[in-house]
Amino acid sequence: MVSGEHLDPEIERRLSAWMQRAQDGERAAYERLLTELIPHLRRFIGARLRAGEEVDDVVQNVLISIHRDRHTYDPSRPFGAWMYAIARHRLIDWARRRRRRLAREDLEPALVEAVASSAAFLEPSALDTLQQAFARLSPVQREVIQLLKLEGWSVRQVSESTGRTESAVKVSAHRGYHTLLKLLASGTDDE
Amino acid sequence: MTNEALIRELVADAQPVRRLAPPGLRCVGWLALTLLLLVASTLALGARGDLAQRSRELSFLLDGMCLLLLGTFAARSAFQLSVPAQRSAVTFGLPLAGAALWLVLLAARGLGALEAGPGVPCVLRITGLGMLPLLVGWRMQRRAAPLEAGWTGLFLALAAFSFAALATRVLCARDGVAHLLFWHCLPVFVLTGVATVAAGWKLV
Repeated sequence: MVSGEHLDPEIERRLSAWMQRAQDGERAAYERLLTELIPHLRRFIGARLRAGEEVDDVVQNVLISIHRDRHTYDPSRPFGAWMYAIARHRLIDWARRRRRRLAREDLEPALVEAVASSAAFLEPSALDTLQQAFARLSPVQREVIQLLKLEGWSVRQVSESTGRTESAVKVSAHRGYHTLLKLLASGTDDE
Repeated sequence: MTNEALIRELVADAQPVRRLAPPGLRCVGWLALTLLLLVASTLALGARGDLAQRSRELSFLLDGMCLLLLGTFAARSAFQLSVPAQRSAVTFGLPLAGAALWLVLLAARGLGALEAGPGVPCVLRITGLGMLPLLVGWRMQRRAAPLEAGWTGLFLALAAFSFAALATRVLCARDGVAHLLFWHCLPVFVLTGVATVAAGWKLV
């Protein structure tokens, strides 16, 4: 068993009892259970992630999975093994999503460069064209790109200011660049 | 959203839940239903004429026993994987060993004249007979929480089509190794692959 996957027998008994009562619909026991799980999950996930700021994202995903799958817990078996199996798989999911996101981020500088060097951008009326294209982005994409590229904010600052997760900010920016590129290309073709 | 806010939401949504029966019990239920379905289908379609004579031969019995074990092991693994923390050291090994044993047993008899003969009816039987147990098992797995959906789908499909191949052995009068390898074994593995992609994707 990997370190961090073992619960003290007393804690194990307590969590198992709370889960059984939660399965029967007792909300107070369920709240105590979920609250007590957080430090265990933070320790387990924190030990396996380098990106410290995303630990709570993964913890929340695990809590949601525990909630959705709570009917599969068998009280005759250890609660810790059941919980850590779910946590391990949510971590694997997170790692996969992160790999995909990093691959997307690798494309971002190339996308920005492509927008800047598109034919429409080189025309004398480039500013008008860009403003028209920018106005056709979704409000979220417009806000995110404006803060990132015009105001020079970091992704984290945009995240804190808008209340979106950092991942959501990056995805919005990425989609916005793609849309801009398409709009600028079609604008050039139209003329 | 903070952890505390999420907990409040989850607690507010917490209704009593019906506990899932242990995987072993659910597996036994699925096996019983599958065998019942296959016996009924075999009786309805009509068993091969020489079944009484062939069932006294060791190679025929070994072949049948091997498929029975393969289907049972694969079903056991699928149901184990459908619930968190239920897998054991042999969850992956037993069905894969069962599949290897089936192939080795067939190959050990030699390919003979390499005469596979017509086999499309066998493929249709394996497909048709395996489909209902697969769908029933898939519905049962959806009610559980398969964390490794791909493997769960693979073992479930392997179990369903192995049992279908067992029933097909009772229906099909051809016993040549080439026929069995090409028209019984190969369809089981191909159908398992196709169903794994479909069932695994839908189980996520």
